[in-house]
Amino acid sequence: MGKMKYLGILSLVSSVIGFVFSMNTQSMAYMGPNGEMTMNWFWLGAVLSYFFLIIALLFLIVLKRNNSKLTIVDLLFTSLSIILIIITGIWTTFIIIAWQSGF
Amino acid sequence: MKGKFNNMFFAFTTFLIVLLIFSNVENVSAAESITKVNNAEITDEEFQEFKSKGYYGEDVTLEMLNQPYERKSLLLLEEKSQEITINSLDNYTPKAGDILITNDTSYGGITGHTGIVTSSGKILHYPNPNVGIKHETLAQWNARYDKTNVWRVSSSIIANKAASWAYLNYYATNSDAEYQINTDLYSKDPTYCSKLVWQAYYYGAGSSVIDAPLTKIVRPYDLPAYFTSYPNLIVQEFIMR
Repeated sequence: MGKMKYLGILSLVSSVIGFVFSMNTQSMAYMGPNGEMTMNWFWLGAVLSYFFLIIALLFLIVLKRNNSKLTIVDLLFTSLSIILIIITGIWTTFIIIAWQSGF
Repeated sequence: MKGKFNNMFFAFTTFLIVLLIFSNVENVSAAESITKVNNAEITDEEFQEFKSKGYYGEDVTLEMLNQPYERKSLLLLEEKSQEITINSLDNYTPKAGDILITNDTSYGGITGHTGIVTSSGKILHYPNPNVGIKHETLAQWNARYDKTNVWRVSSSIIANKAASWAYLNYYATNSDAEYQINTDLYSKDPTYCSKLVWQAYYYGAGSSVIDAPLTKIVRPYDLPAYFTSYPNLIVQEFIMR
């Protein structure tokens, strides 16, 4: 099992972390003292969400460039990763726009 | 063979975890949430208190607010549908239950914003988490949102009940509700602007008046379209520019 085999798993793990941050970005805004709303925590959640999304994408790009033969498991990992990357990107962007403009 | 089995098991477990995360986005079930929401019935004491504070107009009575909603009356309303467009703020007098929808928000109005007129003629809305829930005059609203479409429900009984529910559940109480967009339509905290208006009609006037969106996220621009069972219930549109 070469190093490349782990890239699919790493991409999936990164995308899951990004997805979790994306889903919790709004809740994080209320992590200030005594549960007060603070945009610093909100932005931290949003930035971490995008950060892990980019990391997941980079792993996928490296995996693709190496042209290694992918097993069914690798394909499952990469497919799930791609789905999560798309959802994370769309949801985080939507939340940022909605929080800035009202919804 | 064993390695392949391990891989498959790991993949399956990961898939299950992802599935669980997805299913838990709506973390409060509808049944649980409904019990959290107060009944829209207004007591005589509350009515007198709010009326003395000027929240209700002179023409609003307790009986009107607590009158049971009947499907039959809605069917009759459909026959009276009409559409009026007025292009000036001067010609618009806020009426309880009016739904204000604006595209005058940042990012080109991509998400839009909405509020509901309460019995006092003020607009109750949740602009964003920084400012919290606001109960403002039309002039204050208009200073911020220049372009606004106003949708009016033709039944003043239904409109008054929605307006009262919104005021009692999002200003008299619960005014510190957290701002959060999620797929839980039925809880009052957290909430967001269009969910506040949708709930006012759903809980205040009756669940058969307004339908739930399939996406479980209420979009400001789509609010009039959620009156799908009685599309002609919203009959008047005013446009402020």
